[in-house]
Amino acid sequence: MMHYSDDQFAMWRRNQLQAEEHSAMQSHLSDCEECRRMLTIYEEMDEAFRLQEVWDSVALFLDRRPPRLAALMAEYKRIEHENEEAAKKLKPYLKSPMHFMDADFAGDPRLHDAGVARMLVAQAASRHEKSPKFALQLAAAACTIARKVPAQPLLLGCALREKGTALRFLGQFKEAIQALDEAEPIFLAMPDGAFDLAIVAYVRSVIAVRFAERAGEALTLARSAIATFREFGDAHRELSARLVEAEALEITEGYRAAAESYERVISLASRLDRQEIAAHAFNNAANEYAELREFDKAKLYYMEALARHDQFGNAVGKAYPDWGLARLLVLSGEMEAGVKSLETARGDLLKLGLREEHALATLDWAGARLALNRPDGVAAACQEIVLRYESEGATRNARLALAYVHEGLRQGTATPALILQVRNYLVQLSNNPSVAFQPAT
Amino acid sequence: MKVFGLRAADIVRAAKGQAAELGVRSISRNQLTRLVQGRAVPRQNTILLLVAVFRHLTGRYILAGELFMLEPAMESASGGVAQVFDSADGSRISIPVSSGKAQIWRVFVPEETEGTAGETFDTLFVEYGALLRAIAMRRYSIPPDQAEEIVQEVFIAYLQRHTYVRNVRGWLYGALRHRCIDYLRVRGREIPLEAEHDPADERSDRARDSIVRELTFAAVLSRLGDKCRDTLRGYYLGDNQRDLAEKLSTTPGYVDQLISTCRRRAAEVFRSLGLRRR
Repeated sequence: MMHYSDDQFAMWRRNQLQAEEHSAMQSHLSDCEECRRMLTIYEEMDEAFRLQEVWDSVALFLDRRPPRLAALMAEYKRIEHENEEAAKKLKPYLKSPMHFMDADFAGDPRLHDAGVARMLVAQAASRHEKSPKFALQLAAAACTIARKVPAQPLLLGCALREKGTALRFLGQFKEAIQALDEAEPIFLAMPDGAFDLAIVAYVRSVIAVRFAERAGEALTLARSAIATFREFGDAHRELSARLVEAEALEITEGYRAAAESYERVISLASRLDRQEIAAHAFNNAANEYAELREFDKAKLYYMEALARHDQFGNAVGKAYPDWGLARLLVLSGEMEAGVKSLETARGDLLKLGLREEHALATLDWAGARLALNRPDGVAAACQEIVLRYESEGATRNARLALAYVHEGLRQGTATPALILQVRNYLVQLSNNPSVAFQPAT
Repeated sequence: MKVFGLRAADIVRAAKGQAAELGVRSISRNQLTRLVQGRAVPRQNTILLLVAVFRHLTGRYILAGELFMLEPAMESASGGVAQVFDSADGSRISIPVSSGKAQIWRVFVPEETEGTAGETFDTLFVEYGALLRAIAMRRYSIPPDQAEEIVQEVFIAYLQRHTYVRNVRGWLYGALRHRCIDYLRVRGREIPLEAEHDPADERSDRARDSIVRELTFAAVLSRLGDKCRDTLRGYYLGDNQRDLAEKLSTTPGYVDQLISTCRRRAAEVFRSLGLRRR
């Protein structure tokens, strides 16, 4: 892409360009992040360079040879060497979880050094999402070693934090919180612990937001993490914490607050060029606007999500806005078109293995069919719904709620309202696993 | 030359006219050939002249860096032997003289906005440490020696966390701020107030700390060559074009070129420092 120069920016600002060139530049600026960034830099620079104070401070930087570089470089080289040696020692064990079990982290003194603990922590952090069980093994080994290495509290804190994160991914929330509880005071006692504490707060918020009654706590934790990540310039972690904030806001303050929060995620993700996160945030914001019955905005956002997922060939991602758009048709009264689109959407969700989403889309479709007074095939489709949740209690409660639908359909008494009630109940079930379904009287 | 579709004869002919205007010596066909083939190193005036010639012949605003591989002096960071002087665009440039191969002028490539893991640690310390030290001194009124100590500690704290810090510069700045506040708190000193900060509002971010902003731009100026600094000082602090040309012993027309080039270089340096708002 072509970019404009400082001189062209200057002419544009002074309205010295021909009308055609001016509007071409205006349009380019709205599309080109790089040119917008450069224009901002030039504007900030112009403002700063007019200040006498700025020129007075230049002398502070002219003598730039730092007196302590040698000492710092020695420390840098020591840590680098430690890491390199650790990588060599760990190489045979990191091939797979099976190989890893061959290592005797508790008994082999060769492995008891800070470098090994540091590398294990880094390895665990890189595997949480794809192999949380292996990540847990790595973090547990890091904890074992960090406890044996004297005067390295940061390493123990980090190892415990990674252990907590791995346990969180595995759904072992109680144990995760125990590990985080142990890590927290270590970071609290350190002069540079604020950033590490923010990561702990973020992990805690992810756990808390899963439980409706702890949404307020999740919100507080997420916001404290956001503030610190922002302070330390970590936009990527900030983005993750903002997603938790939006999720918590839906529970504590409702759809509007959540929608606005997702819009902030969209803005940040777009700036960071994290288009996949932006796509998910567009979809979630659309869901919120659909609930608020602001259909035009919801439709626009679903389309944005669709376009972004399409760009990356993300079939799973595309299935969500497709489903949302189909549901939107029904909500806005275009029942025939909605039923047809929902039929396609629920089929796609099943093909992609999105069981829970397929169940909800099937209920959307069933409700619409009943509203059109066309119940044929609805009972059979609802019988195909299979739901399994992390907790046995939630799975049992889901089956119970679905039993009301099956029974109603069998007896011919099921209404779109009952189906909608069950649908909304299932949406909330992950957050409230112990709350049983109560049909509206 | 091929890129611009120019012939050597045209360049040499145009150089005569431009050289008279700029008050420098012209260039012969033989000299130009030697430069193109990398058998000769261009001097300051030659660069100045050729940039003017290319601009004249193509009508395009060509920068020295587009014709020559330029690199400002990084004497403290590179540790290499370099001959340093002001280039045509006012920046300081270096020719590595330790290499036995043909001397190549390398472009000074600005880093990405956010620091990267691959960034050389000593470069980071040399370049960014100075800014952090200045922030500690100006923003938090910490004496120079203690400021130096704090910056050192912050860098060591970063080294221990380098595997999971994603934005090195942002992290260093955040850690410095915490260290400085702790320093003041322990000594019972007043902690500078910071403006109300709405994390959702970029404008409040921008307005949050004007001293940091001023220092960042001062650091930018310190990394330009003397000529660029003098040009920009005159331009921004109110010299008219004629006075500035007189001070710089050049023509008013060339002052415009210098201003434009120096602003562009300053913007590049600013981006490389990385301490800027999102």
